[in-house]
Amino acid sequence: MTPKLWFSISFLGGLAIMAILIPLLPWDPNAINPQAMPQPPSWRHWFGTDDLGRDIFLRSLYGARISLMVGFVSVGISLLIGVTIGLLSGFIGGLVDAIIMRLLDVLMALPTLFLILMVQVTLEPSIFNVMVVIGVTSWMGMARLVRAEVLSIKERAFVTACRSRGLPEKTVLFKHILPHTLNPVIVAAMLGMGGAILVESVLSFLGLGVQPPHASWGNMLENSLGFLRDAPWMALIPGILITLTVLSLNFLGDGLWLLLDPKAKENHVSHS
Amino acid sequence: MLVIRNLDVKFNVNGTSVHAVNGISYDISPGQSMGIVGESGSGKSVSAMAIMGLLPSSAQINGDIRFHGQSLRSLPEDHYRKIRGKKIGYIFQNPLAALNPVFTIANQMIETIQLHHDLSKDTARELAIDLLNKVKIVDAGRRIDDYPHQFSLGMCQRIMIAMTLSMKPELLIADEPTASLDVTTQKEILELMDELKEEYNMAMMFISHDLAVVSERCDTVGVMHLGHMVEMGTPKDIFTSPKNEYTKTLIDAIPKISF
Repeated sequence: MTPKLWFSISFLGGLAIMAILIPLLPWDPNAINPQAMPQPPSWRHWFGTDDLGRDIFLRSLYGARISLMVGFVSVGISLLIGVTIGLLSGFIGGLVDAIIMRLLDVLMALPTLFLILMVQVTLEPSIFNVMVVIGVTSWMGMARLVRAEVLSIKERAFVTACRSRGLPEKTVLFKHILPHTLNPVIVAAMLGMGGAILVESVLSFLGLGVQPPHASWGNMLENSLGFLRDAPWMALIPGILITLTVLSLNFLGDGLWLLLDPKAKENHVSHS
Repeated sequence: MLVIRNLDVKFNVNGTSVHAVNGISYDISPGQSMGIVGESGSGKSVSAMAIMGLLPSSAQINGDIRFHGQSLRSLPEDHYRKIRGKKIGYIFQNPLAALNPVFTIANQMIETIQLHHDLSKDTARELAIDLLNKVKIVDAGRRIDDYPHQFSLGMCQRIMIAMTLSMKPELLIADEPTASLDVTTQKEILELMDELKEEYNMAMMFISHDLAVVSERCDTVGVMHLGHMVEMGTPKDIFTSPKNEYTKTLIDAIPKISF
């Protein structure tokens, strides 16, 4: 356990707990207060208020709900698709594998962000669409990772041994091979979550994600643009939160990689 | 029981064809043991894997493999699966590598037992512990919940044998079962296998590079060299009047102690 890992776990854990519990409190994040249009951080409003007098602390936590949910759900979707396709592609091999891999090459060459923008413009922009679209367009890396693992795992003796005992292919693949591919997948999932949160912020910033008055870090940033000189905290707070969250997720991915992969640890020690 | 006729296996490696097994034939009758000796790469394991139907798809197989008169090669995959393990057991050279490191022994044994017998998890576990006792794993009731890496190689091989026995196969293919073990463990494992072979009345196909080990316990010995079965006969014939040059080299290679 490195300090980086401690920092990320406590930051993300704290953020998640607060984000989950915040709706239990009676305050409305969208309540407008004409007496407090924009106020700097104070004891009454920890993170200050925005141009409509709304409490930024409260709105940040509601924004955290969105960001974390987007992170979890879209990575969940991309895990489901990526791991399944990677497993099958690597396990079946041969022509099927070749076709899937070439398809992935094509998919990876698509400009994902523009695809997401297009979908959001065509369909009604909603947080549900954001999660699905990010999930559906970000599984390719995961699939490659899993496939590469499967290719090496399926040559190991215990796989042949499983077959020699008459285990069906689906048991061999999903029970015996799958767990061996999970270490890199967990790491990639953490990095993917950071990426998804960034994409959601960009979309909300462009007005194509979470719709006002509902708060998300992205639309809070967008909202702050007109007040950068007078109320810089309106931009700084969501900006810092996005940065810290994504950074923590990356640290967590890194830290887990060190914990899970004994070879990584050796290299790490010799470098430091 | 097992009839092999003109078994021929070729591998296609980057366009060139490698002839791993070149038209070998032999029979194994119930309760009989057949030894196959040869150096690494002589096609011993490949021919055994062909019987199991577990060669990679890049292998081109020709010839006849019949088990109880039934051609295994034309068998659909899900029927074949019922023969693997249940009728023909397989023991591997490196027992630690043949166990999945992420599951406990209990998990893997119960999975195997339940696959072939309609038993509850608890009954399967008891059966697994009985079998571990039978292969002389000390404190089997507790150690069954350990992971493969917590056992020595010799113990892992005992576990593999127990797992194979749980299916009561008619034929046991032992692919260099003691090659990765030290000599004293090798002796123990071989003795255990001899005992169990008697008890379960199994036929055995014993693959080894050690002519002495094979001759001690097999009714028939086949010598393989570069994919060919160069000589086959009773151990006595092979030892007393070897006809093939390679067989003579093998006999010469058996260490003799002189002071």
